[in-house]
Amino acid sequence: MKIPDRKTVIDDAIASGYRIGAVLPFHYPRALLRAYDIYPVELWGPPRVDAMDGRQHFPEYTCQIVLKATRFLLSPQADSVSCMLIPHTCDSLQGMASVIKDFIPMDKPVFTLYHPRGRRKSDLTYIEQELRSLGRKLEAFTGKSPDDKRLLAEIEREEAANTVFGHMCQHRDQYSVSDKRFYTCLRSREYLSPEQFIEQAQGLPRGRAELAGPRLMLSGIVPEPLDLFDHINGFGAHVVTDDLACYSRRIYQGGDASDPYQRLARIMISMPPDPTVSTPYSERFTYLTDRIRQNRVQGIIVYNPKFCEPELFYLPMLEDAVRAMGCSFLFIEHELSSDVPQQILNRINAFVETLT
Amino acid sequence: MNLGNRLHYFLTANLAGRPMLRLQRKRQERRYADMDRTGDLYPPLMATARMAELLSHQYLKGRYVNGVRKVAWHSSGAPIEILQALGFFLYTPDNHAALCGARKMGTAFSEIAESRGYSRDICSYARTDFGSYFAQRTPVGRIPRPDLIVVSNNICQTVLHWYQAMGTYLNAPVFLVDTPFLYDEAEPHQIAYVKDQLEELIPVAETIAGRKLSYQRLQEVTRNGKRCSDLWLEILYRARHRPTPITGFDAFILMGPVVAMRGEPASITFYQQVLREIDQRIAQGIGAVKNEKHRILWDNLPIWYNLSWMSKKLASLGIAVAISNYTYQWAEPAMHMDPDRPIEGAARAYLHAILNRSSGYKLRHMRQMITDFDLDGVLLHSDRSCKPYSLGQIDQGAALLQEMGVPSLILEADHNDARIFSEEQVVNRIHAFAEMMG
Repeated sequence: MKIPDRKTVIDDAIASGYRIGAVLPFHYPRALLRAYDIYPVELWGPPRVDAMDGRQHFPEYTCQIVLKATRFLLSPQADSVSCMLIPHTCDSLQGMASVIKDFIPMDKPVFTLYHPRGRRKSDLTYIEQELRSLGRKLEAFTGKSPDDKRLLAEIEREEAANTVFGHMCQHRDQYSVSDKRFYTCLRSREYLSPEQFIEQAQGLPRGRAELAGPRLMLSGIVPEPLDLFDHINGFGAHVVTDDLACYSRRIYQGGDASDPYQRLARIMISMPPDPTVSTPYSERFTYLTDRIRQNRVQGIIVYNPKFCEPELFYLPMLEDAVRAMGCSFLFIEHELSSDVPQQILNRINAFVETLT
Repeated sequence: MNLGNRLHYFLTANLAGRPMLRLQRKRQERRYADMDRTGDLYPPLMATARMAELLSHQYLKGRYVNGVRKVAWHSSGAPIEILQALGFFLYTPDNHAALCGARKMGTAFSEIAESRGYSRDICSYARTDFGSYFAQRTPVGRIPRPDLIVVSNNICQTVLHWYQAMGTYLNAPVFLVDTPFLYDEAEPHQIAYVKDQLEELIPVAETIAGRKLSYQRLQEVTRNGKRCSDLWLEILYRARHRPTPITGFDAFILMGPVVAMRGEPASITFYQQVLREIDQRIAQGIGAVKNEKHRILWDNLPIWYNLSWMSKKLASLGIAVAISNYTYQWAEPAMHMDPDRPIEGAARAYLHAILNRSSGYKLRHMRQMITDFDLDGVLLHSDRSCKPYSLGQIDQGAALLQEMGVPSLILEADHNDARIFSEEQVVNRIHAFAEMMG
């Protein structure tokens, strides 16, 4: 089943009366946007955009997601975007939101969302209030006032898609498709409606995946370009599980509260251990080493865009923890682009050979 | 806490340490008094020697404090009043990293951290502290082991990762005071969130301290902290005088106590002395830069390893850094601190730290400083390993020129990593900047 492209999906959404909301990475309340008839489309770059224009506003040591997203949002390609949501994932995205709000004249509002860095009682109370505050801003922007029933309905739609997404992330071996096809399908969650995504996921052939060769875990932020998976398969290895921000770090649990904001709040802090929300390192390492064990991972590739500070701090300790359990470790920094540089491919190839 | 530890602490840190440090201070003061006065800069304030004594004594106590008092490490923007009121000995890794930088040890420690797998792209303060930890070397003799680590992200998200890593290495509990970034004015739920966390910190810290928090003592510490920050603000604002009696470089040096010891009476006494000395300079018409032609604002962290070189270079061109918004960070909380309602006041104070506010707010703040201090230009230190402070500078500089006709210079360097600093390039750019200011 062919996955609809972004442009078609966006055009259809606009034709159906939605406003398009460009959303930066990566934890955010999809259901809340949808309840206000804002159709969320995620921006992880995009990789094909030239980063140079972004440098008019940011120094060269800024991550490429920020540079490219800024460039994209300033281009005519973003004319269909009505508003932006920039979650406070890191200092760079914080800087981007601040610069766009304060210095770059745009005819579309920028909403921000601060995700708490803990999971205490105060954090839960806070995120609920933060979501209510965002709701009030969306109401002022759209002039719409969805009731609790509508919001709950949107939450349930998203929960259904989250369940399928989470199952896929945790059971790669049950899908008999190539890595690229599997992970492309997962990434379609970034712009498809919940129902469209579920349909795509259910359309993937089931059965025991033929995952011969070294078993890899891919960690980091985003695997751009997706051809990376074909290259890995070409080297004779397979990505049997992941710890990427765009995939497994967004396995959310469902909620059961009848109040929609309380339910959303619980969902928003239900993701697995994640450095961007400051999960204690020990908790994260336990989680990752468990997954490595469960999936019989032989090597972990951490594939990060350059200057991604939240990722860089825990890597030395993670490397020690992973190596201590007999798993190999490779760290690659990349610039978001439409091709994987040969130098990176050579490193991956050599890494896979050491596992064979 | 055994008696032997206490006795050792008392003998070394107080009985022997105090007179020794006093002697060192007097020697330093004599050196300042005898300094050559023909250069472009007036000799440092005598108070600089007094500050070295104050901080050295703190570090000296830190060497022997484990087993005598509970130790809390805290980030430089973290709320310390609850910890001080509970009797914790406080240690600030940020200050230690800055000290290493000023002693030109930052790069060497960074390289050690890099050899252990840390990227050159992470904050050089963090790399400095990691390197110091791995090498088990420090210019302060010995760093006390933490019983508790309190970190607040009101200066950056980086500190969360840095302190968490240290907590993991040292097996110490880390308490986070999470401060949502303020793109606009603070919303009630944001203030409530910080207040809730401070209330959650109390039982955690009480358990480790082994004592109950005295509300009265918390009020007293808050009152001292507020007084200390008020004094710091007064000191910074003395730079409105022409010629300015102190420069931003003096402030970088003198800020240590307000960052780490602001609730202590000794810090208040110290800043009162600083203020008196500055007022004497004003009365005598002494300027920190002898031939003050241009007055500028320094944006962002200092370049610790080249502080002296930079101040002399700028002074040689008649440029006085009158004020820095970095040092102002520790003056600002004073307006929110409230000894009558210490928790709520602290929630507001720590949420509203300038580094926790938007680029637009920082620009408005720069404009205000340009007016208040009658400034001719702004030096924007584009600090490679400090993203939160550096992002936004390009637009801030453009806006200042467009709206106020005030030129700015974006100077690329790093606060602690000297490998990023290109002396020749910096000299050329500073000369061009001086020409722009006329």
